[in-house]
Amino acid sequence: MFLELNDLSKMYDEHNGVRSFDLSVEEGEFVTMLGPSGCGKTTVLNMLGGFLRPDGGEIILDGRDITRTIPEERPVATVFQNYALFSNLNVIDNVAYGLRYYHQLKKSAARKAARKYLELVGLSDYAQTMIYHLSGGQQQRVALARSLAIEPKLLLLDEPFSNLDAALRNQVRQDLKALQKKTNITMLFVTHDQEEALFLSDRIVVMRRGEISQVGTPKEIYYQPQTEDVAQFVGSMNQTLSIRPEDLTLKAGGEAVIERISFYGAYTDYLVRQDDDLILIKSFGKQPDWQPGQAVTIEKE
Amino acid sequence: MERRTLIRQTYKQFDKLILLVLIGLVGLFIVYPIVSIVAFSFRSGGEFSLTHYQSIFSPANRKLIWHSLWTASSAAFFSTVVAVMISLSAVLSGPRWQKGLEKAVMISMISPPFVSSLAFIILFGRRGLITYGLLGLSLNPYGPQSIVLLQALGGIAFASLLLFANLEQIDLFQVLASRDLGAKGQHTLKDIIFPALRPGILSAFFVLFTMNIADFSTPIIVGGSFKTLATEAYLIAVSTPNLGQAAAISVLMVPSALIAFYFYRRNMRLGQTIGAKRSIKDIDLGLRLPGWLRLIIFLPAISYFIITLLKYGVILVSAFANTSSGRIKWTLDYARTLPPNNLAAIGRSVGYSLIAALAATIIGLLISWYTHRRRLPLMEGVEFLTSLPYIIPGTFFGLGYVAAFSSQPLMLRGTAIILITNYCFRQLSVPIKAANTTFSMLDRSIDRAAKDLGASELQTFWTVLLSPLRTAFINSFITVFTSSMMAVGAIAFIVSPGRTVASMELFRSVGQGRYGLASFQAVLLIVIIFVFNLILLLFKDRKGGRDVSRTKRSK
Ligand SMILES: Nc1ncnc2c1ncn2[C@@H]1O[C@H](COP(=O)(O)OP(=O)(O)OP(=O)(O)O)[C@@H](O)[C@H]1O
Ligand SMILES: [Mg+2]
Repeated sequence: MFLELNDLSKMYDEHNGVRSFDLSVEEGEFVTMLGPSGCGKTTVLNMLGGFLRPDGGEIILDGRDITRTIPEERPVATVFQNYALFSNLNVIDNVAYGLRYYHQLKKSAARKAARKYLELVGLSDYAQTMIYHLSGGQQQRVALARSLAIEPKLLLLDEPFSNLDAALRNQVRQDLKALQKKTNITMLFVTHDQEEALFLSDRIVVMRRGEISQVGTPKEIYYQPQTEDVAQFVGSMNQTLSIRPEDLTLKAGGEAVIERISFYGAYTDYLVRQDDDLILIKSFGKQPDWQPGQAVTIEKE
Repeated sequence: MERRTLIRQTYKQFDKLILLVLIGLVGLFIVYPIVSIVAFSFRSGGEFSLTHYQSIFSPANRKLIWHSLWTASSAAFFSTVVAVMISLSAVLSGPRWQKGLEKAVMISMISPPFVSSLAFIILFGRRGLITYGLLGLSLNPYGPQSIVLLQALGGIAFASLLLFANLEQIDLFQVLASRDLGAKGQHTLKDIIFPALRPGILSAFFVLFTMNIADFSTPIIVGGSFKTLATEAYLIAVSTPNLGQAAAISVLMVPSALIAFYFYRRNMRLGQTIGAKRSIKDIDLGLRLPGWLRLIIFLPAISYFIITLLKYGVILVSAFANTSSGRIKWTLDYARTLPPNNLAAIGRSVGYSLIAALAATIIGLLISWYTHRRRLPLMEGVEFLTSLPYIIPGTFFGLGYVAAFSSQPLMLRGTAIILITNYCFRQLSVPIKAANTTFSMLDRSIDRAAKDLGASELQTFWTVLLSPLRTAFINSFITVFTSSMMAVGAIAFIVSPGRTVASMELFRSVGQGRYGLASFQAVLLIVIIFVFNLILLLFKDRKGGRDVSRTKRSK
C-alpha cells in the first residue's frame, strides 16, 4: 500500500483524541474522513502532517516510515482550513515558498516553477497580487497551488471549503475533483459535510469518538451502513423500517398522520406518525398539496 | 409617563452625561496642558516671540541636541535588539518557559529607571564594589557610555512587553504552513515571526528613543559633565521660575515623539488579518535552529536576566550595608535613620497611584467602549488624543501641567489632584489598549442580544461586557499603578516640596550621592510595588472573565 497508518493513536485525555487508527490508502486515491465535530479528524491529519507526535503506532508513506519525521522533511503538504497564506508575500511568492525551501530552488527559479501551479488553479493573472486583495475562493486556490507546488506524495486538506459560501463551494468541489484526476496526487480530505464526502471521494472513512466506524466507497457507506451511527450521520435513516427517507412516498388516506412538512424547494421532508413511530419521508420534485394532520399511507417506491 | 419609559429616558440622559464628562476630562487634562506648554514656549515678556527657540539653537545648545540624539538612539537600538532576542527566546522555548519569561520581564519592570544607575554606581563607581573593592581601580564611570548602557538596560523590559503582544498575533497555522512547505527553523523565523514583529520593533524603537530623549534622571546620575536636552530642561525648570526656556526645549523633543506616535498607533491597529486565527501563544512550535543562531538569540536574553538579578541583589545588599569603602560592612543605619517624611511620601505614593490606577482604568474602559463598541463618530479623535501623553516626553507633559494649572481658576499646583491626574492621564492609553483588544475578540452580537432583550446601552455594558473586561481591567490597573509609583519624569516639576512622593525622594537621595539610603528607599519601594502586584494578581487568578479567547475558538 502507498500509505499505511498502523494502530495510530493520540489521546489528549481519557476520552478525547484518536485511538488505534488503521487505514490503507492506494496511490492516487481520494479518501475522505467524515465525522461529527470533535471525532478526531484534525488529530489524524496533524499526525500525518507531522505537527502532532502520536502516542503509538506508525505511518508508512511510499515504503518509508515517516512517523518521527519532522514536518519540514515530510513529503506531505497541508491545505489549512484558514489557508494560512503568508500575508506579507504576494501570490507568486506564496506558491514559490515550498519550491524555495522544500526543493531548495533559487528565488527566481522557484518563481518560474510556481507559475505552472498558478496556471493549474487558474490564477495566472494574479501572480503579483497581495493576498489580502484576493477573494475567499481565490485565496483557497492559492493555498491549493502552494501545496501542490511541492509535488507532495500526500496532500492533506482540512475542511478547505468551510469558509466559502454554498454556490462557491460547489464550484470549488468540481475543480478539486478535476485537479485530483489530472495530478493523480493522493489526497486525504476532512469534512463534516456528508454530501461533499459522497461527491468527492473514492473512499470514505466514517469516524466517531476517535475511532473508525466504517470504511468504504461512497455507495457502500450510503447504502450499506454497518452501524446505526454511520446510517444516522450519512443521510438520515428511518430506524424502524431500515429504509432511506427518499425511498418512501405518501398516498392519501390511511392510518398514518402527517405531523410536519418542511419545504426545501428541490425536495420536501414529511414527518409522519405511524403506530407511535415517527418516520421521515423525502420526496423530490413538485408534490401534492399535503397538509399537516392529514391521514396518509406510507408506501415504498 | 410610564415608569419604564421614564427609566429608559434617565439611562439615556445618564449615558450622554458620562460621554460629556469623558470628553471634558480629556480636554482638560490632556489637550489643555499640551496647548499651554506650547503656548508658553512661544511667549516672552507677555508677547509672542521666538527668543526661546533662538537661544536653543545657539552653538552650545546644538551640542546638547547632538548628545541627546546619539545617546538616545543608540540606547533605543540596543534595547530593541535585546528585546527582539527575548521575544524570539519566548517563541523558541515551550509554553512553560514562555510564561516564566513573561513574568520575569514584568518583574524586571518593577523598579524606577534610575535604580539601575544606582546599582551601576555601587558596583562600578569611584568607590565601586567591583572596580575599587575587587580590582583596586579608581575609574571614572561617568559619561555618555554609561548613559547609553543604562538607558538601554532600562528600555528592554518595555520593548519586550510590546513585542510579546505582537507575538500573540501570529497565526499558528502560518507557522505550521511554513514548516509544512519545508522551511527550516531559521526560515520560519525570517519569513513568519520576524515580519510579525517588525511593526512592534519600529514602535518600540521610536517610543524608547523618545523616552530616552526625555529622560533626565539617568544622565544626571551617571552622565558626569555630559549634558543633554533633558538635563538642561530639568535644571532650568527647577532653578528658574521662567518656564519658557524649558518649555521650548521640551517642545523640541516633540518631533521624535510624533514619529514614535505614528508607529505606536500603527502597531496598535495591526493584527486584523484574514481568516480565523489561532495564536501561537502557549504552544510549543518545535522550531529547530542551528547552534550559532540559538546562541545569538539566547545569550542576550539570558544575560539580561542575570544582570537584572544582579541589580536587585546589589540594591538589596547596599540597603543593609555600607559600601563606601569599596567593602561590604553590614548595617541597619539606613533603616533606622530613614527620615519620617519618607514614610509619609510612600503613603502618598501608594494612595495617589491607587486612585490614579482606578480612575485611569475606569475612564479608559469607558472611552474604549464608546469608541470601539459603540463607534460614536467623535470618539475616534478623543481616543487618538488619549494616546498622546503616553508617548510624548514625560518632561513635556509634566511642564504642561505646570503651565496649565499654576493660576486661577485652575490653580491645582501643590494639591494632590495635579499629581493624581498627571499619573492617570499619562497612562490612559494602557487600559484603552487592553480594552480594545478584549472588545475585538468579543462577538458583537452579544451586545445586540442584550439590547434586543431590552437592556439600555449602559445596562448592556454593565451586565454583559464588564465581566469579559475583567482581565483587561486588572492588567491595566497593575500597569498604571506600577508606573505611577515609579514615575519621575513627568512629576518632577509638579510635586510640591512639602508633599513629595516616594519616587522623588529616592531620586533626590541618589542625586545627593547617599547611595545607601537610596538603596534602602528603593528596596522599600520595590517591595511595596511587588506586594501590591501580587495582591492584584490574586484577583486575576480567581475564575471569571478569562474565557474570552476560548469562546472564540469554539465558534
Ligand atoms: N490540543 C488539544 N488538547 C486537548 N484536547 C484536544 C486538543 N486538540 C483537540 N482536542 C480534543 O480532541 C478531540 C478531537 O479533536 P479534533 O480537532 O481532532 O476533532 P475534529 O474531528 O477535527 O473536529 P472538528 O470537526 O470540530 O474540527 C476533541 O474533543 C477536541 O476537543
Ligand atoms: Mg478539525
